[in-house]
Amino acid sequence: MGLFKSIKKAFKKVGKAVKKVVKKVVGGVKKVVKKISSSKILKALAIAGAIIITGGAALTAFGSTTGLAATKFGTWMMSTSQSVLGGTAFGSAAGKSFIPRVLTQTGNFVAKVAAKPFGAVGGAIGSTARVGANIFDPNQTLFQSGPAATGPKPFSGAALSGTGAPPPPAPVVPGTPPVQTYAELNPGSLTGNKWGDYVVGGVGSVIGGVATGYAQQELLGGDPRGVDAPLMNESKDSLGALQVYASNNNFNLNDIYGQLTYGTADPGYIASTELYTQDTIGVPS
Amino acid sequence: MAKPTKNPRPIISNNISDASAQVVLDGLDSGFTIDDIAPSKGPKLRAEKQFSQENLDELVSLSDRGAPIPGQSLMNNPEEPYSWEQPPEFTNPREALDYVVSLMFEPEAMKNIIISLSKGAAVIDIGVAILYSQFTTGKINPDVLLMLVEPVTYIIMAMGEEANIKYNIEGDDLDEFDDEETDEEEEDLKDEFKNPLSNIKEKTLNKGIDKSKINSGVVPESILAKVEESSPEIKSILNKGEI
Repeated sequence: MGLFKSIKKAFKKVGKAVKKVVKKVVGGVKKVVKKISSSKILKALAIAGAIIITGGAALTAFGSTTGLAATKFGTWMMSTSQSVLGGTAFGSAAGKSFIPRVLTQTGNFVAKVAAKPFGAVGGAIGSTARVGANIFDPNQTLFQSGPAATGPKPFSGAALSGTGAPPPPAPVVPGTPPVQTYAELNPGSLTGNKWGDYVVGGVGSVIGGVATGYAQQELLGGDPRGVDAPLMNESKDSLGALQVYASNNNFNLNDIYGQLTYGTADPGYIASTELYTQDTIGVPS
Repeated sequence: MAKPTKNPRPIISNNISDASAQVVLDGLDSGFTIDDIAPSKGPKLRAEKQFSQENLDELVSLSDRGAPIPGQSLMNNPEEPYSWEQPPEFTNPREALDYVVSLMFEPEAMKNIIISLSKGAAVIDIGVAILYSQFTTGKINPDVLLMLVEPVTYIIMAMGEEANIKYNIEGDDLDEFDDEETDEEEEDLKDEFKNPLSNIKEKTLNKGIDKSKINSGVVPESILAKVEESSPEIKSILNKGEI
């Protein structure tokens, strides 16, 4: 358990360090903007920080009509990334292998927003982990005592051995079910076998689709088409900050994906701002 | 405000505090006010720490159960390591941050975070608990965990602000920022008071008054004598004095 103890010690240190940094930043901003309360500056910093980290998803997460998304500041912050995304320089400057990865990551983010709650951890690990796990569990209140939802009982044999709670035993069904044929399982089958149905169904749907498309084309005169976005040329300063940062920190710009950076010029932020335009999650009621 | 005067400046930094400070300053520079950036929502809910005997009892009972026996981990089956003893799922901090943040933004999780903030739990404690659970489930390693503490703290702070809660950042420090504010205000007032006095002194010294031109008869001698009498006699420390 030495590892956990040292981590807990590190937590305390990091916690204090983060608070110090936050305080320092509040003080720094306050020096520039006088006569404004510290808590107001703290609020502004927290909002800006959340927007940077989530690439704007935080705006809609807090409510797209009443929350941050409705503010002019939120819209204004999104405009940097939109101008950078509109250009072509990113592909050439940052390397083509990088952008698809970031975009995939962005896509993953959307998928993960609807992700299932993760499994809770064993009680042997302690209450800290359980509180962390309970946060994500709809069936547990935050500081609820007792074991976490799917984890083993605290200090039980399963928890201490690290094997986790055993899965619930499968219900025992007496006897072996009789094997059914494809036709028996699919009474609506046209050909009586799977392949035949696939071929018939596929061809039928293709023919049907083509016919419907043709009819629609004739009747409606083609699909409606939006206005094309104008091609934007990237200005020097949009990516300048990123290039200077990479140069100052002595790493290749292509390796930016491995660096945890923040800001409106950060590729992660830029790619994630696409989320700003779509509904990601509802407001908890 | 009517319209921002300029587009946002591209900003990049290796820590979120610095990046958000730069964004806020850039916003102010572009014509936004602090109220535009952080709109007021009326009086905040004070998240006072509440004592709970039940929670305390649970904590005591946890510590009563004792710790693992020294060397216990060495007795485990190497074929069945703990989750944190295996390579973590996320080695890239960006991906780890996205994963953790997406979990936090799930409605149920957000609700639980806000409830705990309103009950007085500190932002850093909640953030660390979340990350610690990710470590124990083998999602991240301790290095990535420490890298994520700051951004996760900011996310929780933003949730608290959106919920209009006056939250604790670390421990029980609800009014710490406000207390500092009063101290700063006092300092400002002192400075304001000091400034006129020092200005007079500076101006007088800078005027280049020639002492020989001062008219000696302006103050009557009787008054000068009185001043001399009432003022304490300044003696050198090397003075022998009276024996």
